[in-house]
Amino acid sequence: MKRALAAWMMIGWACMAQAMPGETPLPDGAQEAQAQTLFHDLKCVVCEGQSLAESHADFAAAMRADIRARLQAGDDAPTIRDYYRARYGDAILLTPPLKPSTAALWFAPLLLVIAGGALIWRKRKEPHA
Amino acid sequence: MKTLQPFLFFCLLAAMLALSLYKRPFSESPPVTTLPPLALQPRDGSETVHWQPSPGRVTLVNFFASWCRPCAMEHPQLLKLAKDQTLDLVGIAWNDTPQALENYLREHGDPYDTVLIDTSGRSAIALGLRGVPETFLIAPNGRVVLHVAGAITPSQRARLAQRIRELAAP
Repeated sequence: MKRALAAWMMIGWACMAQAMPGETPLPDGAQEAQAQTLFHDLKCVVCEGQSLAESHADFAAAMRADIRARLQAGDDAPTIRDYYRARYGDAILLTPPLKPSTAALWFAPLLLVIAGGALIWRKRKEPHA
Repeated sequence: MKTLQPFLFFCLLAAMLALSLYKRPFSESPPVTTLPPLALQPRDGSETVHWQPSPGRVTLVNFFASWCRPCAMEHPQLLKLAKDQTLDLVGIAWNDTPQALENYLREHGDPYDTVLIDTSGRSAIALGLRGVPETFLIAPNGRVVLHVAGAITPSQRARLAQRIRELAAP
């Protein structure tokens, strides 16, 4: 069971650890997996709605290189995430945390669905002319 | 009133979107207030140095690139600011080469006291940069006090000059 789990984890890392063309993945597989997780968690600041993992922008490439260098220097993923949040705010995170300033972001879709549903329900209840 | 409802709803959505897109291009709250260590390459391409502003001097750090059109647009404003002898104007070229940089400064004029190159982009990230041009004003005590995102406009240059005079005043 443990062997199977380890094998699946290795396959997972191998799938995630696909560096962009021209970029060299970290020699330590576990560190590269951490880097890839961060690339998927953080947004490219010069692109619209793309993660660092997806972006081909030079700025995103610089950020990927910076993250790899920080991991190699011994920083862990939460430290690196906090470093980027301190500079770019919650907007750098693809999944922003739930707090008063982001509440509208989280609940607006739900409120819109409820409002839309209520509108449709009211229209249906209205007698036809 | 009923016919106005969709229009008002649209206006509300548009206002929310505009607010979310609103950026403060001239901000007294820069992304970082303490200047991080900046490892940069001198303009001649020689070995990387750890740059720090001169203590007791007002410093304006301008991130730019020779390939960046808004940087060329703001260049006349930098040439005007450079006339202030109380100011150290430092240009940091992002994602650039020494040769392209020299050509650019020859063509547009060189307003900088010091020009350095951020070859890795790590100094830009350390300052929370989102692109070029971006400018940071550093007080004589080394604190980052002002941030301009995007090309400096003539009115922003006037405000910057005023702030520089205030900081340089004994």
